[in-house]
Amino acid sequence: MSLSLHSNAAAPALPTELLHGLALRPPQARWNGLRYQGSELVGAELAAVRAMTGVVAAVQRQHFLGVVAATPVYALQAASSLAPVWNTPGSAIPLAAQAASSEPSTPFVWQMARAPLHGANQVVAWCLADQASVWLPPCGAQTLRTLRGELAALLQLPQTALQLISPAIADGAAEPLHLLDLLDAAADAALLSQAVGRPVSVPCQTGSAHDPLVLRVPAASPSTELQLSATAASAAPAATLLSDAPWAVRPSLARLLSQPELARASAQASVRDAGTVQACKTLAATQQAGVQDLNAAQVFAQESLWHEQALAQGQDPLAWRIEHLQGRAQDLARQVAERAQWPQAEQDTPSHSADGRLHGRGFATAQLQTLDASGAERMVWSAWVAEVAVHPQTGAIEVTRVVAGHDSQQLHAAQGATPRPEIQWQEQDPQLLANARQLLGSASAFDGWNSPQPTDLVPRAQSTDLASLPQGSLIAQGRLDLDGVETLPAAAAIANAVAHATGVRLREVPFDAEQLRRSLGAPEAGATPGKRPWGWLAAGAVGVAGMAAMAWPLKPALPLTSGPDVALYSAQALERGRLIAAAGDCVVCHTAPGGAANAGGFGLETPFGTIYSTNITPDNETGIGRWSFAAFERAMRQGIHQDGRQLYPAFPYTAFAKLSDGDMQALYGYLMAQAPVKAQAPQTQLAFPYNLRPAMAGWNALFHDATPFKPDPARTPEWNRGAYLVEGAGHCAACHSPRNALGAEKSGIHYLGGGEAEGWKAPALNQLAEGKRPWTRDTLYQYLRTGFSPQHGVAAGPMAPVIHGLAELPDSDLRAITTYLLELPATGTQHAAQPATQAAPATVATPAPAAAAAAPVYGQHVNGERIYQNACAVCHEAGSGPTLFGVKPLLALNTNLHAATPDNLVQVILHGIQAPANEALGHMPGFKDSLDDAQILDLTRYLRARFAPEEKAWPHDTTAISKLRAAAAAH
Amino acid sequence: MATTSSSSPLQLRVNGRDCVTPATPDTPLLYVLRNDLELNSPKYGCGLGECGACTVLIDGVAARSCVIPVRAAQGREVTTLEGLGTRARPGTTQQAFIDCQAAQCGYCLNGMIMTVEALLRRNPDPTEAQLRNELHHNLCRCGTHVEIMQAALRAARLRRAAAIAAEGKQ
Repeated sequence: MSLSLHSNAAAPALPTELLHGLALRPPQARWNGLRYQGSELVGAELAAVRAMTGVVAAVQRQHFLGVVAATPVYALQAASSLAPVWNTPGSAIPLAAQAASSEPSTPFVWQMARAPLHGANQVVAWCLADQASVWLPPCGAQTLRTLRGELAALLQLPQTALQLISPAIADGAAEPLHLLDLLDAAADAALLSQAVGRPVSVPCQTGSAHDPLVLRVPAASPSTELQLSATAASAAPAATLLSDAPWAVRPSLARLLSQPELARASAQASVRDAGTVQACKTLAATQQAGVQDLNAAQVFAQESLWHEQALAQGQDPLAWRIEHLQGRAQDLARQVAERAQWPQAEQDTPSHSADGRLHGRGFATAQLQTLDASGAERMVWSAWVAEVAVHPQTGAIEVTRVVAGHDSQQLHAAQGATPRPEIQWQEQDPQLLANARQLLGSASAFDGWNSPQPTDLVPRAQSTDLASLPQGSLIAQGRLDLDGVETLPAAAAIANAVAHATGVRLREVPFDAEQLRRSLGAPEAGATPGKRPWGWLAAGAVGVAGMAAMAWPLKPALPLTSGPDVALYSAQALERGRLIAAAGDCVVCHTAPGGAANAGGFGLETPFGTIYSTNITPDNETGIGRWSFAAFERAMRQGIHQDGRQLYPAFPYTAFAKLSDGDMQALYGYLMAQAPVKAQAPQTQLAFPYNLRPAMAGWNALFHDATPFKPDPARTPEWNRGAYLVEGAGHCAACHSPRNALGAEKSGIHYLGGGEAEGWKAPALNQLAEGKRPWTRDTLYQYLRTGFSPQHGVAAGPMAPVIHGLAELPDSDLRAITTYLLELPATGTQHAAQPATQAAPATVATPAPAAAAAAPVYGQHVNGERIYQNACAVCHEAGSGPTLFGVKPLLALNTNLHAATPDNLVQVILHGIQAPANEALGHMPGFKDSLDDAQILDLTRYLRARFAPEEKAWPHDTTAISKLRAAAAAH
Repeated sequence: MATTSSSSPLQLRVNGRDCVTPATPDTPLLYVLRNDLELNSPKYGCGLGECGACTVLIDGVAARSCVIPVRAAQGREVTTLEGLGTRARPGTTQQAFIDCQAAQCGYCLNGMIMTVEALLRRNPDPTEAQLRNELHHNLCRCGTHVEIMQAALRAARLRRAAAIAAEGKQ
């Protein structure tokens, strides 16, 4: 079979008039391998959503729920107004409990973090009655075949009626998307397009963190369980493995939800000749594994098992394994072992090297049946020998050498057409070692930065040592590394090597050094807990974490240096630094309007005078180019300039003190690696007594706690991560906590209790989940991710650049921030201040008809209403008016209209929203030159009466408005 | 607030063509279209997004170009009235307005046509109420409303006829 999969010549162009779709996800999506067993849809506000501006359709198919709209933001707004009611089966048996019932042995656990999406990917589908076209991001032949089968089943069309258009993957590049992410987006787009008969675009989203894949060795022969993924009975005596979750790739969510009774797997693991995996039939699980995940987990478990079996039989693991391989797999294994100079059994004993490290080597192999780029069936083999060194004190594993070989054979090829020697070699290849080292993860730490760049096991470019190849025949055919087969045996090879070196069997991927250290029974490492081997952070930096912060007013200048050699910082360290800088929004305050990034000169208005930010580019004269790490860290943690002067706490060193040592070093490396800019920032001139900088020492003694963040072991890692981000780099409290008369953030119950920034009120964050208009995890996450929550409004003013910074962070970090903020202890005091009313908050789900909304009930607000109808209604009136570029912010739900003071509302009316958190949200013009103070007062009072009638009216007084107008003019 | 300095000229895609403008990123899109690109059909009316005379399409959605900074249009497809058709071959919506003689002074017409066009692109078969709602905030000061509504309804008919004709050809 030879499908022409990338037939670009006949590929229709992407339609220009796209609609935008979004599908809802059920709270629980379980699948037992045959049918859907998750949350069931009871009802939703379909009619109300169909009446909303910009909405083309609201679609329901059984439990599937989605919207189609004119723009992505309208789709988002409509989707969050659907208000679905789900019936979630409560009887879901915890998987752990089930597993414990038949506890046969310690399971093999495979948990690789899903690489977050990089860049925006979308799928466009255009489905008509008897045919469908789908435009996809680049994907491989195997993925296209899976997608074709899946979409045909979903749309109930023959496979030939589907046209899949996907640019070929750049040679050597990885598929940019996880199979399931692609599958879900394509199926959503197809189903929504089928409903409206027009082309619909759906963004690809990263699936949630998935449950690990768990494989068990059965105690006895399982008779009651269904065999789901059976490969032909192999001659090898490899044991059958058991899985709690269905051992297959689940259908797309759209198919699972729209055809819950007929949900057969969309793909199977493609590993061959490695033994079988049986899935437990009675259990439903939230399956988030793609073919590559299944393959990887299965190879890891099976190849580890082979090693164990060999040891149990008193055999040499390599010889035992090779003996049970056949044909080309056996040839390949032999040659790899030979090249790795695998010693004979008698001399093969684990050795201690001079540095006390334990050395060992391990072997593993994998066989895969897949499609190559031309759509032809291929069998591919890969074999690995890995050598490791284990540090018994820390449990740290180092992969010291890798020898890997690959082979491949076209199936159904014409006789004699297959060139025999196709084996490729890789040895000491830096990319291969880097891939292997990805497996050496550590337990999730509060300061682990999950780069949004894809850092998963990336099948690398085929830039092998070509000279060692017998013929160039294979290279001409493209990639040998189909479906990531190249790295498949890596985990088992390393685990076998570690077992050889230490006798400890690692059963969880990624490997955890801490676990290995405990298994080795080594004493607590060193006297400095938490000190991790920052091997990759090889900067000549001196840790000064222990430096005491004393109330000693005059600090010495720290010596200027020639600056670090930034070439010593690894790309990973610099990337980590970049994320910390983004989370900390350095560039926002350290860049003057129109000036170069980070060159300083931005004036911060404080009650004590204007404080100008400094140049933090590595310029030798005007920046921090000659600062040592010690000087940098002292400034960050204690607010003391390199020359010894005290910095004002407008620079939030009170928060940055919480950064971990590793983060501090990465941030230093990142800032020092930027281009230097020569720019002298204006001098800060405060009035007496605030101009006495040494007095700040006393302030520090009173208000500053310079100890780094300590995670709370009683909380989840996610909570700790959120706390670390909010309290540390994110310095949320700088604006969102009230300050006392001396400008210090109040703590305790006032922590994040609401503050002020640049003339805007920063709302309280410690009672988000409460009150009449509570934030949920999803709305808060959406607000932080997009700068807009349909239920609360857009990020404006000083919050807009914060959203820009957060855009760099992965979803997991934003989820962590959300978790932490929603669990903050509330003050309770602010509620009492507001009259408790019974008025239910308006729901978006029921936009009032235009006629009712315009009812003349605002007699005393005639002027305000007239201004609203002329100036505001075109963009803000719910349920009427044109669909315009940008979002339609519904004022009834806007947080600022429900605030105690009109300040933020007045700011927005005066100055508009010129720099939205996201250009797609749209812009609002400022009305300061069109409306006078009296008109703005009329307008705000009308808006309050109409959209927040349950709140107390704002004062009838223009002084606040004049003040805000004057403050802006003074800028 | 920090804004990045504009060293490189802005790249735009207007009516299917790539163009470069020396304007600063904060310049309203309308000024760039009229002054730099000499596309004069979008009109300057109120300058506050209230009247609709400046309407263009951004990614197929109606947009009031007087209140949108040009940087927001980067990486998106901008369509002006000139992009709907030519004098010799007007687009269906334009043709409908010609057929119905739906102009008095004509200042609002750009906005009327573009707003109707945007609605028809996402809803080829609108009701009269939907058309009215869409045009509710496009101001006409010389009372051509009756003809404009007739033209809008005709535009929907012409567009459907054109779509059927196109399908028949295939």
